[in-house]
Amino acid sequence: MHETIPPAKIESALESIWDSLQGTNKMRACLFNLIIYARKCQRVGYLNQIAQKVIEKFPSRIIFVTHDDACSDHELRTSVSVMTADEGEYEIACDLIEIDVCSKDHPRVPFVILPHILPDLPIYLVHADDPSEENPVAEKLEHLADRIIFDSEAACDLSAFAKAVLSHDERCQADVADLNWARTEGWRQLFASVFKPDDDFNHLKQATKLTITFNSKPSDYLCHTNIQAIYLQSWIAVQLGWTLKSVDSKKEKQTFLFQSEFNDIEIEILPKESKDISPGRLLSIVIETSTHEKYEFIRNMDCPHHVMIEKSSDESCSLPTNYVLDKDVSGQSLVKEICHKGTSEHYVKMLKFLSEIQNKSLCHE
Amino acid sequence: MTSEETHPFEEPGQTSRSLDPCIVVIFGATGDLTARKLMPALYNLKREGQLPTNFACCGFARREKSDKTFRTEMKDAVSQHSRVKPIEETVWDTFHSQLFYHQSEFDDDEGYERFAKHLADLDAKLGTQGNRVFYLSTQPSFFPVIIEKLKKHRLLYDHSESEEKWSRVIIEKPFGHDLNSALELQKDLLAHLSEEQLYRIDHYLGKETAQNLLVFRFGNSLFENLWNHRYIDHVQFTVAEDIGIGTRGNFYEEQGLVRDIMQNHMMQLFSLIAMEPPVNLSAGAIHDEKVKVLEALRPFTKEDFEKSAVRGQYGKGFVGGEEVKGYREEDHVNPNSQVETYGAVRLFIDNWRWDGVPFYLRGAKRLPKRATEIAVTFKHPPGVLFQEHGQKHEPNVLAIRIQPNEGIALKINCKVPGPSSPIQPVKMDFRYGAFFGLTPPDAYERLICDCIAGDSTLFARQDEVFLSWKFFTPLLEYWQNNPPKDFANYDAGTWGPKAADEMLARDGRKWRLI
Repeated sequence: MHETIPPAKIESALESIWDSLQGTNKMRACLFNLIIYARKCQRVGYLNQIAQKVIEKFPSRIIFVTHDDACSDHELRTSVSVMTADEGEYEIACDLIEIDVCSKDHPRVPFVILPHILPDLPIYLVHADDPSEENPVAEKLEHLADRIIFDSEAACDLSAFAKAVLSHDERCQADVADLNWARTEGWRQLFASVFKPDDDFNHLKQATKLTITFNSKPSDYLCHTNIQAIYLQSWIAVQLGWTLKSVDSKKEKQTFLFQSEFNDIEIEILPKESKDISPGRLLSIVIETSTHEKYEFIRNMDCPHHVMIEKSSDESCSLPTNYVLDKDVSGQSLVKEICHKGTSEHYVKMLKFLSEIQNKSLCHE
Repeated sequence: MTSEETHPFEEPGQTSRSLDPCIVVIFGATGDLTARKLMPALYNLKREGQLPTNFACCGFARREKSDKTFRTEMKDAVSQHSRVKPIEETVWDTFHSQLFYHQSEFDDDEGYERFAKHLADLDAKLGTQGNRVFYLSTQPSFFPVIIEKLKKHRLLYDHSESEEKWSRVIIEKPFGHDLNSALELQKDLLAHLSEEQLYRIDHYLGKETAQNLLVFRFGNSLFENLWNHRYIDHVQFTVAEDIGIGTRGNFYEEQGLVRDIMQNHMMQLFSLIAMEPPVNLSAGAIHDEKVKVLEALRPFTKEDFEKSAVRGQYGKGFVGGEEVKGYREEDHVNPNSQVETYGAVRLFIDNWRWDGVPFYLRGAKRLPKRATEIAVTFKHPPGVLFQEHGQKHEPNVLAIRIQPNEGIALKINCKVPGPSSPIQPVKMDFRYGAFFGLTPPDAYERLICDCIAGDSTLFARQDEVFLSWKFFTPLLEYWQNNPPKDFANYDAGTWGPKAADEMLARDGRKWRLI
């Protein structure tokens, strides 16, 4: 955190910084207000990284709130600085307001933030804490936001997380989104593309087994590594109208049994460690069908944002094709979510599905 | 030389107007307004060469003090409150010799006799030619007696008697407490002077940004065609203060927010936004158009008192990061006070231009920040282009910041660069500071100059005041007879009571977060 200043001096301190930057080719820019709200933990460093990524694409005023619930003092510290992103001849620079608060002063946070929201610009809230835990301060911030981006990484109980997000969606006028959901966007688009032809789609509807492998190697920032895999399999199941029969969740394997109009389907989610890619990213998906079709989607670890697609059956084997996902860069998901409008209906349906699963150990660490 | 003839040394449009020699007398000169606003304004006018060369300022108050003491106190005040610091000693050296002080009670005939002699002496020494501006910076209860005494002691002249010298009176709000008291006050004042001599100051009209409203609307062809019910969805006016009532508990308990801010300042801004183009820029023409707006205001019905008006009172909270007390805990405030520190109303103007367009006005103390703003929200464009999944994009908003960060912003929608077509609102932003670079003159500087020049454009005319009272008095009476049950109903540092949000939500709208 930079030098602490009183909250009443935030705007004047920012003006002083900008006055001192005159003549330095730095351009002050802002497309929206981005409030990042997180509990003080190692993930704050990660969130700082994604904030930097955001301003490279979308300059914004960032208000970064970290609350330390382990600290029982009366303490609220504020500081201001600028974050910069190179843009050719000019450096784009954005205001950063940091608020560090202990439990006793936590209720002051919305009052400190309110005067510093830039008017007429959207307000996006990254709620990086577990929404299933009661948090009146976070609720007040949610009422300010036009779009709330949750982070399921913060939740240990995915089912409770799903329930909490659904209730937020009903309660607030804001759109909701999820970073881990955003991370599966590439795979969802891949599926939409590959299974667009009727033949392929009909084969998928007769799937008997799906095996999803994900990178289970955790980092300092990401330890619930199976969430993206769970999201993707849930999305597939919900969109295809499969009914869940049972869940068996172990550290070495999670198995979901579904029933479709045609047959039973077993979805296995398998961990596998890889140091070449971010934690939680999907490594491969293999689909087998009752008509002996097989679809393999394998991430190319030499070029990790490429996915090789192979389709085969008893009679034929088509040439492998390549699909390009977004590069695996910190903050990319948040940038994508910021561009979207509205709450994804697919996401909501998937959350409803997850909220009904009575299994607290869905998330692995 | 008459006012229509131009002095051979003056060139309209090329040189600034020169003002008649005069003496400005400030009644209540030991008060807060003189220290914070009036004396700094006069000093800056002096500094910028806008005061007449033959000029004097005389304080008139009840406390005993000498000219020297008064000058020292005023120097301290100017050093502290001038918009331009530090004080320029060379300017002050000439200015302070034009400051004088006279001690008297406001109702003491002997005091006024001495004062008349004093002013006559100053006329002889300084060449101020008998021209007078009397600034009544006192409680309104003193206005009638002061004016009566001024007239009695021939300090206020009948204009019909003499064209060689003039006298004018500036009074500060509140102009009455309600319609009846405003009419009574007017009757008392007009017994001794004419309407043309009376200048009702509303310092909001002296702000550069408020003056710019007419230029913005009528000096640009771009906006006038859109300035009506066909294109405008609604207009929001916000006068937000982050401060509480401070030491003014006694005063505020008699006033409340509506009397303090809404009935006067906000209605002036409202009139400027809603008026028709005047036929010329004379004071009369502009006042006439403002009055027409007020005449077209739809009066509140009984239902409107509940549905179109909200009052609130701040409880404790946090402002500027610090804990602050609630209104009822402030000094000199009744712990069971029912006085509002928040007021919000929804108004309609029944004329061709504004048919069906709601105007939402809110003013309050102890909001999260200090800001005065007018926001014109336009209707969504027709058709279904760019509407994603039935969701409309943000409407265009023209936001006029009166204070602080004076300027104008226009919110428009733009395509986000990239292959898909998401749309993002962006702002085109004009800021006074960035373009003009100067500290704009304080409102009082302009207004005092205008009064000396005899230009009442930026002052409130009597019919504007009465029509505004005529509108708000029934609401105030309703509130008086129906005390609120839920005060305090908003925390200091928040944007006001829930009922205010609900008022707009019923119309499918919401208050701007500014």
